[in-house]
Amino acid sequence: MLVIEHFRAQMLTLVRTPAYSLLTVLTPSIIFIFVGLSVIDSRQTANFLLGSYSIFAALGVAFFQFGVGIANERESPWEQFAHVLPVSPVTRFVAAVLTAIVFAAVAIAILIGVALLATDAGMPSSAWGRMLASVFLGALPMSLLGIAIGYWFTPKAALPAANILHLTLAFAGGLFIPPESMPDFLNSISHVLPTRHIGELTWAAVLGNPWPVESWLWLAGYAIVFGILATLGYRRDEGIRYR
Amino acid sequence: MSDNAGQGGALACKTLAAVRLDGIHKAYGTVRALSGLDVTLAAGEIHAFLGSNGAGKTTAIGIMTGLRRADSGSVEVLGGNPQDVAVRRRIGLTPQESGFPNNLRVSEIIRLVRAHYATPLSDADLFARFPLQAVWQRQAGGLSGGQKRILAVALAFVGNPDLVFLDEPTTGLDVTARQTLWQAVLRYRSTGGTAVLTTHYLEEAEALATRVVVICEGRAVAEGTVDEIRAQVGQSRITYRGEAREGLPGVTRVERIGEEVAILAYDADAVVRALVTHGVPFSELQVRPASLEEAFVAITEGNIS
Repeated sequence: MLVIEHFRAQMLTLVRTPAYSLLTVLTPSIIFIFVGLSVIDSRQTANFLLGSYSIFAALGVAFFQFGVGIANERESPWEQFAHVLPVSPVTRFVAAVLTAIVFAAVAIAILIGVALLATDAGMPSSAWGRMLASVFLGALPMSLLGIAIGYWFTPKAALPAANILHLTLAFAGGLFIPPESMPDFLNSISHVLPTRHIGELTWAAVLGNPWPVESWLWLAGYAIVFGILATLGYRRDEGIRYR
Repeated sequence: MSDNAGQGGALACKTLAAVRLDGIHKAYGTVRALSGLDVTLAAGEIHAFLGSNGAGKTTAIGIMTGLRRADSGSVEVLGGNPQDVAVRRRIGLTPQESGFPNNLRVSEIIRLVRAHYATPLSDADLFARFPLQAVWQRQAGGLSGGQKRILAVALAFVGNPDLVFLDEPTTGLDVTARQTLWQAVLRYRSTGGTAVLTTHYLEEAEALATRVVVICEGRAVAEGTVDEIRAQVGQSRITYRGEAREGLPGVTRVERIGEEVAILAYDADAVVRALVTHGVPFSELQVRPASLEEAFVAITEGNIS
């Protein structure tokens, strides 16, 4: 199947780029070990931070694989060639999504492994399921933002843009400092950020609380906005390159 | 009756044309790449697009392969739109030079591209045409320039297409690599395949093509068999210091550059004899074959006798 062949080629390319694959897969666990472990004092905080760092991991894939990856591909002659191969853009996009899911899943699996070994983290299986659902569904609007970065920024600008967005959105969304420890002004900004709402859903899941419906609505709204940005960027790029 | 015959003829002709470009205009900003390109390329022939740099050859290929859209005019490739997947399944083409993912192996790149076609070439068929066996497990980033180009051309053929586009397949290649690619094209030609290749070497067009289209400033200025085109562009350039003279035999262009006169003509000997017979004073006479560029200019200006 064509999707599988494109998926296979993309996976091989990324796996053989250790600067991408290792960083993406290991960075969340490394920060978790050096920063997260020192503040964990109970099973509850361990579960809470495991959820937060899982979001951070998925966010990295969304920004770096889609954002930086697309910005680089736009300048590559190989992509121009792929554009005229007999394959629909949908097929290639699905392959890219599959690749992203695999990378995010591996990064989160390592993180969970570290948390289970080094902390008291643990929850009922339904909570694991809801946590992963929140993280992966929450990654959807962020992937659209990543795609928008890829189409609106040049390769040189996309990397710092992805880095800055990745860190500030994670930080201000409460993934490193829980919202209750934030200064008031930051907490109020935090309430309108997509990362905060992915956090609210994930934390509700790990703590066994019902999902706050308004956070799903916020994320749906962000998905529409980022989806429009990504589509406009794609059209603009297609107009420039394939005119 | 005659109407019917006419329609039948048109229909038969339509099925035989692999590519039809009608009044294609294409500009990049203020730069006009194509200005009214009309060509009909018959199936079963190897067509060479001959022209100097910037003549519009690559833009023409881009439009025929669906990579670019024409500003105006109509494009028909294999009876359809080259941007349709169904048409593209029957087309083979090369990526722009050296454009491979550096860390994919040759075998993996071939596998990926091959997956897009219904009846692709087997490994054995591929190795018979292109020397890829030795680099089969090498990553593309480690290939030499020549090996990359051979891989690029192999990708155009691996899908076993009805129509192949090769954009300057041998520019910058050494003799061995060029021979390899020429052999592959000739083999494809012997199986009745249709190809469009661009080149700025008349020699390459002579070796590979059955038909030639000369492109100059975004238009087709001459079309015909290789022999016909060679007869048109195979001219000599005669230069001397002295007076320009009207009415010399077989002259396509006369130009004064300072004290020097440059003449383009099919028969240099006849021109020189005429200069002497007419008693035209000249010095520093030189005769050399005209370059393609010079011949193209003469053709475009419509000075062909």
